[in-house]
Amino acid sequence: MKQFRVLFILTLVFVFVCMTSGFAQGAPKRVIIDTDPGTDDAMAIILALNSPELHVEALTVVPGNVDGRQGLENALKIVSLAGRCDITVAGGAQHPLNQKLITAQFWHGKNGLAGVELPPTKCKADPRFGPDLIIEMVHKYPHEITLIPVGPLTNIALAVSKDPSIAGLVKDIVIMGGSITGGNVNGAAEANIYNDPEAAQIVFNAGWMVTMVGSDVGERTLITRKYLTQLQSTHGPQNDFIAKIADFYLNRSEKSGYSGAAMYDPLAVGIALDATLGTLKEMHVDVETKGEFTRGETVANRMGSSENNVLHGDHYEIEGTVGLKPNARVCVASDADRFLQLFVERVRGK
Amino acid sequence: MPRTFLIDTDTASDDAVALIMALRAPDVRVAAITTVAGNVNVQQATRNALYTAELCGADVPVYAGAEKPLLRAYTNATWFHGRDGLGDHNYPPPRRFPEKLHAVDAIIDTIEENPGLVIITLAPLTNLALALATKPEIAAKVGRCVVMGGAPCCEGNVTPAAEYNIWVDPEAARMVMLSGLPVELIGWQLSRGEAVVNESDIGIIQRFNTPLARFAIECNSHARHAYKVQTGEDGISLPDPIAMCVALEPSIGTEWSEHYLEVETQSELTRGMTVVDRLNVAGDDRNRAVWELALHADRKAKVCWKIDTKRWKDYLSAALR
Repeated sequence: MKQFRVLFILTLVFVFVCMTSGFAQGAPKRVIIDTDPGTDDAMAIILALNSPELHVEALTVVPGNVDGRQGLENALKIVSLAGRCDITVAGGAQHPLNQKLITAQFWHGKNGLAGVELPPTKCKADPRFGPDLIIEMVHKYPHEITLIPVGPLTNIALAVSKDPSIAGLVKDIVIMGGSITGGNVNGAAEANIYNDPEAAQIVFNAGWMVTMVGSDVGERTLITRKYLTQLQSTHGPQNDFIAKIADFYLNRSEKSGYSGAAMYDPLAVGIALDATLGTLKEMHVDVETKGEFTRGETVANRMGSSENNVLHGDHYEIEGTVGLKPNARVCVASDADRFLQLFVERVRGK
Repeated sequence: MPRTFLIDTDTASDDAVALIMALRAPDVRVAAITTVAGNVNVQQATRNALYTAELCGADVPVYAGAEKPLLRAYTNATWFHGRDGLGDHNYPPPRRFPEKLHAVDAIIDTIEENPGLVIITLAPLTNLALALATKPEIAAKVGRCVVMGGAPCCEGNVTPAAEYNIWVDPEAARMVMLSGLPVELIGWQLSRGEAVVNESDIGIIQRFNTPLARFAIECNSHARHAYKVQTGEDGISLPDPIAMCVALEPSIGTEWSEHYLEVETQSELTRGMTVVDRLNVAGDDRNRAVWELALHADRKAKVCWKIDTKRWKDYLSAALR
């Protein structure tokens, strides 16, 4: 009888463990996407909304590709198109911390969405300030929220400056931004970081491990005619919208000499939902805020250490090295085809 | 009708005297005190602000704010003010607690509720910068913004170029200076020389024999010593109370001029320098690109160059008597 009871309890424990671990695996990740929508932002948002691995808790809007007002309008239209007015959409900062905003209609069309006129939104903006909303949600779901900032880091910097404790309370932060092999604005800087270098430096050094999906990897993860044709062969409101903006974006990219359109923001969402889509390496990353040629560059230390230079009379001598703790998992490569197949699969017919 | 003040402070010894002056002013209502990391950490600053308010019998709400500068490593000034910021005299803990609301939200709410509000900043500008980033519209609703900070003509008290409040968080200072707020800059140099509360002034204040007079002199004991070491000048130098005095009575400032003002954030040598366009060249071809944000703010800062040191000391005495 006693043995029977022990067996019974063990079985119960086993079932409980199975259920909880199964639940943990099956439960979608809660994510907040901070975005400046933006063609590739729209693609990233639609990917997230149609991925069972993710539960999009909120979109917070930051000025970048377009100004904050246009960005909020675009975000509301995108969630409305997807029939997802349940998602909280909030505005945020009105301009970068320490410089004027640089918008990118050149790449994204005059409304930021390739000139595609989406139907008026049925959804309403949340009155809260984006960074405050982020603070609130991270405290509401401690260690559960994954932040996916795909614009300049102004909102995230404001949130973590006001409440530094969120750095220890998020599950993850996966940013689209930076590059460790040259920029897409100029020789040094990637656009999101270039648009608010001070905010980026705050975010990289806030005490969390930032997963950095940079432009150099996005530029090796291209949506090409082959994938676009697949998207154009099926239909649905989201499918058709994505096909239209991908077509515009692809044309723009081809005119600038690329063989496809860089999936910058969608890849960040991809890596948030399946980290094996990228190759991640731990490094220490700082953001240059002062350089004439390098302002906005993400400077990555791949060695995990710096030279220790010690003064000896009139000169310094190298005395070994000083260790440098990594603050970022830098994506150095992506499984581009697997990601693009996933992207098309998720969006087709939606 | 009393004027309404909001005071942002990293409460240490000279901040405490400034708080006393405001809380004792008959025609002023201090709607909020907000605290920030600076001279001492934000918890200590909050404690010191609450203690000082208690000494004045004031029940003004105190809101704690930023724990560190926006992107620079935090550096305190306890070498100057003492470990507790008040000269390490073991003052008892305050009886009241800070409010739950964050200082940044308190600043926004207080401005919204009090059009024409006078803001006096005695600290690094982190809180105000965050408030302005949250709601840029508040800048237009502020009546005056008296900033103790900078060294617009000369050497600073941290580096040859910069004064502490600006140096600690230059990015925040720059955000504030370029926000369109009606800034009145009270530089560190105004509290030197003739403005220093000297041996004979200290004697007069001590003979008042009031709790506030005793506290004001005692809590500055460490600062007095540090100031002597730093500058060779004997006495108590009181930058924050001078800014407060100008906030209370603008005519204490006897020489003013209005200029475009920038804050250096790109150089380590001159980090936090307050750069004043005295020859009005910010808009010319050579300078326009660099001064773009200041020109865009479309508002010049009022820079104070000289104060009436006798009247300043009269105001100080009146507050402590």
